[in-house]
Amino acid sequence: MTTTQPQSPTSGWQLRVFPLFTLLGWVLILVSFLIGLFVLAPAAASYWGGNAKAVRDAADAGSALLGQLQTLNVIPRWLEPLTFLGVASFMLGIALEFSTIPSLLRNRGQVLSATFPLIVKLGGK
Amino acid sequence: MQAMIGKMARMYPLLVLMGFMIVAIAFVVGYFNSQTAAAYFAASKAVRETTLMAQRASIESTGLWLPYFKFLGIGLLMGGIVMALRVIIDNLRAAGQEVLGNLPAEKRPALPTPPWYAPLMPMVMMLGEVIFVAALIVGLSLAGIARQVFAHPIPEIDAAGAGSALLAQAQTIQSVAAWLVPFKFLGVATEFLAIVMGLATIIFILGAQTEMIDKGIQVARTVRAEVNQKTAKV
Repeated sequence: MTTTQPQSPTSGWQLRVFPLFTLLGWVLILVSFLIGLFVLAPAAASYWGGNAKAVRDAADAGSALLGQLQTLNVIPRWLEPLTFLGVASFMLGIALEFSTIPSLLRNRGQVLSATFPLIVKLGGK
Repeated sequence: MQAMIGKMARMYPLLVLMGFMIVAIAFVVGYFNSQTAAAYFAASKAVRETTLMAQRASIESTGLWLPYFKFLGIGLLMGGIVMALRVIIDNLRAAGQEVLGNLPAEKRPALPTPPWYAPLMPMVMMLGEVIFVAALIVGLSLAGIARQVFAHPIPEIDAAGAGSALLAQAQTIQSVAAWLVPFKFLGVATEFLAIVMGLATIIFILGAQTEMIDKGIQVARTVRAEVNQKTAKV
């Protein structure tokens, strides 16, 4: 009867790397929320508050109103992809976690295949 | 507490079904909203801005609450995944306890302590759900404000000056929406964190159980050797 000698489970590089992607995802999404809360929301409040449409439309180059309009139109264009980068980081971390499971199960298979002859031997006595 | 969470986790198909239904309902509402928009934009600009206020109010307000409703559905689906992971964890632990139960109590290796993040997983999942519900409530209140704003003809809204109620309402909608959009992603991040914790716990248990099987073999060998020695003496 031949048995495979089991090796102790090794922690793959994925297990060391996935927390970094989880942390990166969390930080990116938190940063995008904080930018929304502390940059976009005050800019929107200043732009829309106290200025009729005629005043907003008449804003000259270099004026604070135009600066706010610029902020409201420029930041969301990179902020949303940044948020999705955070989501992608989380997903990459999850994929890395999943990728460690097959080797764990393979190792368990080796251990079980080593165990069974012993069980059969003990059971026979 | 953990036992109660374990029992609740078994109802994960309900969470998944609810989440899917919410997303499906959001699609139907979105379709009807698109039909309202089609009728609205079929009219001339003058007619749109002065007489079709109800349609405009409906389009604008739906656009403010529907994304958060949809994300609540996604959140429930992710919560279902977290709860399914919890069921897997509970079953793995129960199987481990059952297997170890076959060894003599005095020789039985102790069950490994679960990692610190394992009991936190359901709490993090619930926190994510709370974020989605809070975002929906804020979105619904914004939708209510939008209904009031767009009940007025567009020229009247455009003419609203500093200090007017209309401009204050428009300001509220724009400024709150600026943080509410990334806020819902914070809910997504929280749900993902719970999934990561669940998977990490499963990986921990799988590794620990394999080591435990190895220890179990050693224990069985020593027990067998002791029995053989006793038999030889007799």
